[in-house]
Amino acid sequence: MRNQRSADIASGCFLILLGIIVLIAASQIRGGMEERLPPRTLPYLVGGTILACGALLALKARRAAGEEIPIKWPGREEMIRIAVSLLAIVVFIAVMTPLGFPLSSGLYVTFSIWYLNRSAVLTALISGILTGALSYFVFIRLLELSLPLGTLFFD
Amino acid sequence: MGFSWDYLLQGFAIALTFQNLFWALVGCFIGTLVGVLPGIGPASGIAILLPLTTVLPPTAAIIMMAAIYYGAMYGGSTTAIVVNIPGEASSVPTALDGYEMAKQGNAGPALAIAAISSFVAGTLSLVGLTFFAPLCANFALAFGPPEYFALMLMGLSLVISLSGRALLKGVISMSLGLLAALIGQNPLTGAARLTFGSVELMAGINFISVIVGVFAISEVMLNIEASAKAVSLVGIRNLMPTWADIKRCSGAMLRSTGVGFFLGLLPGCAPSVTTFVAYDLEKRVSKHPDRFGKGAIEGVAAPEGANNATSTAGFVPLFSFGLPTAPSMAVLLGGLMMYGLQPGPMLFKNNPQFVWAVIASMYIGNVMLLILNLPMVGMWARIAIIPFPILAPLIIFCSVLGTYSIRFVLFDVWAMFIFGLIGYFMRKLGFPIAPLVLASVLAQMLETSLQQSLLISQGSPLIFFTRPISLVFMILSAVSIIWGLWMQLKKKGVEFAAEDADE
Repeated sequence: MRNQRSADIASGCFLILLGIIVLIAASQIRGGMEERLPPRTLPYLVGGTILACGALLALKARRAAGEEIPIKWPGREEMIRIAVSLLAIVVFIAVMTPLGFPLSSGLYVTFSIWYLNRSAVLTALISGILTGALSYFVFIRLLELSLPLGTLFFD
Repeated sequence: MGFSWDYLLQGFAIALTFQNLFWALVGCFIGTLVGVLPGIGPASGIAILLPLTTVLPPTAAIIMMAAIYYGAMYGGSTTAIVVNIPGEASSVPTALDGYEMAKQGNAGPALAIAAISSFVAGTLSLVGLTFFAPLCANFALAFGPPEYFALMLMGLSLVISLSGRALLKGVISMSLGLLAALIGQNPLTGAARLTFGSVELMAGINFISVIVGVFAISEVMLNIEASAKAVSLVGIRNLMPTWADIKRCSGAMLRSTGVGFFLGLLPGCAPSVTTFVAYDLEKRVSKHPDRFGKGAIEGVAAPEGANNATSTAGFVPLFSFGLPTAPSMAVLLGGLMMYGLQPGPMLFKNNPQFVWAVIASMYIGNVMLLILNLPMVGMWARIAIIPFPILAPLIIFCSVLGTYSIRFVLFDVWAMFIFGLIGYFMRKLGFPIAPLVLASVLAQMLETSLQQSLLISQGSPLIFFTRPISLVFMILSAVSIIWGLWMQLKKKGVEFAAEDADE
């Protein structure tokens, strides 16, 4: 998928697959035909459109002529940076319930700032503490949002 | 139900209460911040904050949300001029001449003319909104479900054909948005659809998760990839432009207001489109087109006027037809629905105090923004140079907080994350994002109006072609799609959408 043409062929194939999955899932929707707009109609229509457009996209790309448009994918270093950042978000969301929103958000902000900007250790620490404190005092206490407080501590 | 001075004055009375003034100011402040900071645009800014505003009464909440939107149009120019990084896509043309002016030591006058032009265009188009919206709403009173269905179809087809040069990819993007909205329970029968047996999917995918994901998360990923670093700041001196500057720009301000306002009434003509049109027009009418790109002050006034006029014009179809023209408007529509307010002609009839208070608050907000942006421009410029590595985790924190607060279920946050990945790949692969966002918000209304229309016609789809207004909308949808197809056929290469804007 180094250029737009191959990327379009790949995304077209993916969309064909997605369209088929949607069509199969749509066929399993329960409900009668007696309604004016049968419950399967719209999902069938959307699934069908995705499948047809995916096929067209792939075909069009196969036949495309003219200048190749390269796609700028991240290099190895950037890839690692994105992967670690995404992993940090996943961990943040995953530990939100057991650790609580204030602690998990504080830890996430501290880690991410430090990871993306190694020289800013103090900034990372202060931002993390402030984020945690803001979450607790403003969003949980003042605005009374039902954010998780942490099953590990408050169960 | 046309325009009435009484309603407008009542609107001012409500907008001028301490609470509403305060939230308008907060909205203007956050809006400018959203405009200044690259990596977060008005659509995701409003989407993140929307769930948090449930503690506010509806009028105050929508006043604040609207202020964030038009406030972002002011803020975007600051970074474009001072550091050559447009905070929003709509500020890209501003950077062309604005940054050149800054390099020549004229950052002050450039910033000032940007703020003044924004104010003039914003206020003039507000006058347009004040008189135009009730007129359109009056017209829309004749609409039934078939007209609404055809109108929304036209809106979506215009967004697809105008958002980029990739019609097929636009249709795919729209279908993905519809697919996301179809997941969950059928709104009429309550039967599960496309849930694959998952209990979590039964509640459906919230459109806020979709918007925050495809805009904020994917933008953060792209910026992390580009490893955006801090940039140096150009010095800002003599903030006031001369009278000669203002006089030279007055034509540009008026022309850009006209272009921005009238194009802004159309779905798909987001500020990022109209600013380029206004800039181009100014270059054409100028006696010295060669100065453009080298620090022409009209080159700053025109796009800045156009983006404010467009953002205000977007409220006309939103308030009178319930039709969003850009992703931010779609989020605002979602906000209105969240508060149980049905946008469209009935809004003017059933909630005149609300709608006029919001319109009146926009006049006040424009004055607030002028004050916030002129003397405090140095502060905003400094905020703009916060390094992205520090900003990125804070944007993610706000996104997680905002999406979790919709329904307080973790599933919404995971959905946001997944849509972030989808948004990232869509941008990389040249798919436009706006159709996805608009479709995910409009899907429910589309489905309901389709169901109601078919009930009226006893199942015959001919109803959309036998009623004059809906027929016109259907023809316009077909024309826009055929026009888009024609544009596609003219070029044989692969499809590639124009850069999508979070606006």
